[in-house]
Amino acid sequence: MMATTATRNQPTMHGGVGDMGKAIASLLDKLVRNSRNQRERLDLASQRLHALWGQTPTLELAIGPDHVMVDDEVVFEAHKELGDWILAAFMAGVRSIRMDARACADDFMLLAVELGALEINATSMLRFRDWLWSDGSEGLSIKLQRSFVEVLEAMDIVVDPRATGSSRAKELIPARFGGQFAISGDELERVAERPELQTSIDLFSQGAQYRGFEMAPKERAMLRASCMDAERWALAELEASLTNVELRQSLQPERLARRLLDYLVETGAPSLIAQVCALYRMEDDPFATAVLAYLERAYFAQRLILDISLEDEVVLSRLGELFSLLSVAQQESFASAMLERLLTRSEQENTQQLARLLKKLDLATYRARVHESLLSTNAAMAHADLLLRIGIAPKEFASVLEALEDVAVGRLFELLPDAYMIEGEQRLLRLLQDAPRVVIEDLAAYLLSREQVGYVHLLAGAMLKERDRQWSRKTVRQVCEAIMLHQLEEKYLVPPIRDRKASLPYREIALELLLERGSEELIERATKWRLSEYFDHPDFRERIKTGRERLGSRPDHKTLKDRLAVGEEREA
Amino acid sequence: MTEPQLQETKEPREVMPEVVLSLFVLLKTVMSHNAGHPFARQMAGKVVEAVAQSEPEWSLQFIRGGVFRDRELVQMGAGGFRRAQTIALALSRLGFHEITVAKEVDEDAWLRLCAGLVKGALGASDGLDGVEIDGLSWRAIPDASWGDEAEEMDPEVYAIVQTTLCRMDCERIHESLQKSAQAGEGWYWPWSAGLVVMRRLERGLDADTPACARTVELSPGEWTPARRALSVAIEIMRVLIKLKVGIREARVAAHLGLILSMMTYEERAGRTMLEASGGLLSFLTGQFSASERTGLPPHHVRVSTLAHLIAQPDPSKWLPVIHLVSLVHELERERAPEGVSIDLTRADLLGIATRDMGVRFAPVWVKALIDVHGALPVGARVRLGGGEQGVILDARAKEVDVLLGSGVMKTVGSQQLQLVSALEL
Repeated sequence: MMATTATRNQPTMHGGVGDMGKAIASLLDKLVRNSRNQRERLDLASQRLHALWGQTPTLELAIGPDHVMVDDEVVFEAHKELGDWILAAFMAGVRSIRMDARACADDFMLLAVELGALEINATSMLRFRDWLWSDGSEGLSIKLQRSFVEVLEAMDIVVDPRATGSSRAKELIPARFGGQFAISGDELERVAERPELQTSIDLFSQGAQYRGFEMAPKERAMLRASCMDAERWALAELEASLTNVELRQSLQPERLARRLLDYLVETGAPSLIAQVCALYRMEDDPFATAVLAYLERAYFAQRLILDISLEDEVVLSRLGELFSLLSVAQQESFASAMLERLLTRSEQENTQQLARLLKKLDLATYRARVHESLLSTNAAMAHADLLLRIGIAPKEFASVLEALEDVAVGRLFELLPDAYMIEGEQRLLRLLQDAPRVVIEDLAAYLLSREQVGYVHLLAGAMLKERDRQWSRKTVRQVCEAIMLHQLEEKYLVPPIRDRKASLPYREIALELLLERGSEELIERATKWRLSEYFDHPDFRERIKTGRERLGSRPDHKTLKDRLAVGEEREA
Repeated sequence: MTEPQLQETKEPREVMPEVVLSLFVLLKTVMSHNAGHPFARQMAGKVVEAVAQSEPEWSLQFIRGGVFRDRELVQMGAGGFRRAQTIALALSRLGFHEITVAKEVDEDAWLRLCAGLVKGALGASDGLDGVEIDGLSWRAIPDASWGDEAEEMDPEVYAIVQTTLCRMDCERIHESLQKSAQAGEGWYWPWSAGLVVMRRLERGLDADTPACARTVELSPGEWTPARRALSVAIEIMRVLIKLKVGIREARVAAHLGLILSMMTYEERAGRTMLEASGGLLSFLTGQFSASERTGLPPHHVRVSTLAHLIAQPDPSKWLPVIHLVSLVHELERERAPEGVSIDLTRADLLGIATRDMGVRFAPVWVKALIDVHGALPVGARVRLGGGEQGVILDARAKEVDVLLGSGVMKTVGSQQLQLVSALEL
C-alpha cells in the first residue's frame, strides 16, 4: 500500500537524521501555518523546534519546490495546505536552512512569521529577501540562490554574455571622452578664482608613487578592529534605541535584547553591563522592562558569569552592581552560575577571579541566594572554599558550617585553620554526634592527627555522649589511646566501663587500656563489684573480675559457679 | 453584459495558468500519441482558445522555476509549478527559456512547436533548429537556468550590469525624493528600494569590484546626485572590504553613505553631512512602522544608530565607520563643484583628500582610501610621454590601459604616465 503524504510526513523520533529531519520539517511547517492562523502560541512551538533542532545542530533542510530534504532524503512533502509555504520560499530563492550555534527559539518564530507571510508574487518575495539581507534571520543560515526576479532584471542589458566573452565588458562602457577633454577658457578662469578647487593632485600623485600613504599592517588591523568593535556597536544601538522615540516605536524590545545579549556574552564589556544596570534603574519604562524581561528569560546573568572573562576589575565591579539590582530569582541564577563555574573550571586563576567577584557582592545576599543547606557536597566545598578565600570571619563561617551538609562539613573541618575550628566547635560536636559513621571516622582520624588535647577532648566527649553508637573498633581504639596519652582516662574511660548503655567495643577497649596502663585507683573504681555485672557479657564480666583480682581481691565464688554453669551449657 | 458574463471575464494575465496548462497537456499528448493524432489536434485547439483569451502579444519566460508573462510572475500553485517545469525542462534542453506569442496562431503552429518541444523533453537539443513559425518565436535568456549553470555569467559583465541597474535605481529614487520634497509630502528614505540597490551593488562588487567602480567612474554623462551617491556607497564598500571588515558593518556604512548622499547632494555640490545631521534620523525612521511583522531588522537599526550618532555634537562618540562615511561623502560632494560645470576625477578627489589630510579628514581613512585606488585611479586624466592625453581605464601592477582622446585604447607602462587634474585640461 502506498503511503499517503500525511503518513510520509509523520515523524518517528527514534530513528536517525532522516527521522529527525521529518520531525523538524513538520514542526517548522506547523509553526509557519500557525503564524498565519494564530491558532496556537508560537513561542511554545518555536521552543520545541529549537530544542529538537539543537539535538542535531548540523542538520540542514534543503528546500525544493514542493518538498524538504535532508541529506538527499525527502523528509517532508507539500500537500494541500501542508507545506504550502515551501513553493513560495523556493521561488524566493531559499535553498537551505541551517541553525547557527547562537540560534534561539525566537529566531524560528520570526522565520515562521516571515515565511507565513510570503506569497508567490514579486513584491512579497522582494520583501522577504530584503528581510534576509537585513540580518532578519539572525541565528539561522539561509542559503539563497539568485532569484528569478534578479535574473529577469538583467535581461534587457545583456542578451548573451556567454557568447560575447569578457571583451564585451569594455564594449559596455561607452567611450565618449573626446569632447570632454576640452574646457573653455572662461571655465578655467572661474576655477582659478576659487582656491578650494586647487586639488593638489601632485601631492597625491607623488605621495602615492613613493608610498607615502601606505598603510602599516598595524594601522589596518586597528581600523578593522575599531570598525567591528561589537561593544561599541551594541552600546550605540542600545543608546540610540532607548533615546530615539521613532526608533523605539518600530523596534521589538526582544530583538534589541537579543542583540544586547549576544554582544554581552561575546564581549563581556563592562560598559554593556553598566547599560543593563541602567535599564534596571529605569523602573517605569515599559520598553526597558520588556528588554529586561527577555534578558531574564534567556538567563542572561547565568550566561554572563559562565561565559565572560572575569579578569578585569571593572567587569567585576559592574557585575557586583548588576547583582544588587537583580531580582531574587536572577540573583539565584547568578550565584548558581558562580558555583557552576567554580566546579567546572578547576584552575587556580578561575577560583581567584570568582573570589574577587564575590568580594564585590553583598555577602549575606549571596549566601542567601546560594541556598547553602541545599548544596551538594562538592558545591558546598567549593562554596566554602570561596568564602574562605575572601577571608570570611570565623564567626560568620561558623554559620556557613551550620547550614552545609555533614559530609562536606566533615571534609571542610579537615582543611580549616584553628580559628575557624574554634568557632565551628558546636558544629563539629554535632557532626561527631549525628553525622554518618564514615564522616565521623574520617574526621576523628584527622582530629587525632592534629595531636592536640582540645580535639581529643572533643572526640572523647562526643564518643562518651554518643556511647551507645557503634563507632568502628579501630576508631574507638585510636580515640581511647589518645585519651590515655593525654591522661584523660578518668573522665572518658572509667565512666563507660560500667555503663551498659555504652557500646561494647568502647567498654572493652577502655577496660583493656585501663588495665594495661591505668592507675590502681582508677582500675579499682572501674572494676568495683556491682550487681549489674550479672547482666554483662560473660567475657567482659571475666575481664572486670581479672581487674579486681589484680588489685588483690578474693576470687568470687559466684563467679566460679557461673563458670561451671557456662561449661555445662556448652557441653549441653 | 450580464453578471455571470462579468464573472467569467478574466484579465488577460489571469488566464496564463490556463495557457500553461493547455500547453502542458498538448505537450504530453504529442509525446504519448504524436502531432498528427486527432486527439493532439483537439488539445492544440484548447491552446488556441486559451491564447485567444490572453490577448497576445506577450512572452512567456521560464526562469529558475518561475513562469513569467512579460516578466511578471504567473500565479500558480504547486501543481501548476510542476506542469510548468515539464515545459521549462523541454525548452531548456533545446537551449531556450522564452516563448514569444506575437499574435494568435492556429493549431498547426502549436503542434509544430510542441513537436519540437517533445524532442527536447526526450533529451535532444536540436528540436527547434531550423524551425520557423509565423507568430511564435523563442530565445535563450542568460542566467535563466537552474543550478550551477546559472552562475556561468562572466563576472565582469555581471558586475557592470548590476552597477548599471543600481545607477538606474538610484536615479529613480532620487527623482522620487525630489518630487516628494517639492510636493511637500513626507520626505522619507524608501528602504525597500534602497535595499534593492545595496543588494545589487553587493552582488556586483562580489563578482568584480574594479568593474563596478569602473562602470560608475567612466560612464559618460554628468555626475548627477544619484551617481555620486552610488559612488559613495561603492567607495565605502571597497574600503571596508579591503580592510576585511565584516560584511554586516560594511553594508551598514555603505547604505548610510548612499542615504546621506541621496539626501544631501544637489545637482552641483550639496549639503555637508553635519548640515544634514539633524534631519537624517527622521529621514530614515519616517517609513518605519510599529506594525512590522517581526520588528525592525538589525540592519535598519544599525543604520539608524549611525544616523543617531552623527547627530551627536561630540564626534568622539562616533563609531569609526562614520569618519569613513564623512570622508567619502565630502569628497563626492566636491566632485561637482558649485558654480562651474567641470566634474572632478577620482584622482582630483584623492588630491583633495591628501591636501586636507589631518585637517578635515582623518589621515588613517585617507590612507585606506588611497590604498584601494593606488597611485593611478581609474578615471584619472593622464598625460603620456608623447604629450597625448587620456583617461585611465584599468591600472595593473606595471601596465595601464589608457583610453586616448581619439577613442583608441592603449596599454602603456605606468612610469610613462603623469596625472593631470581635470581642472588643468
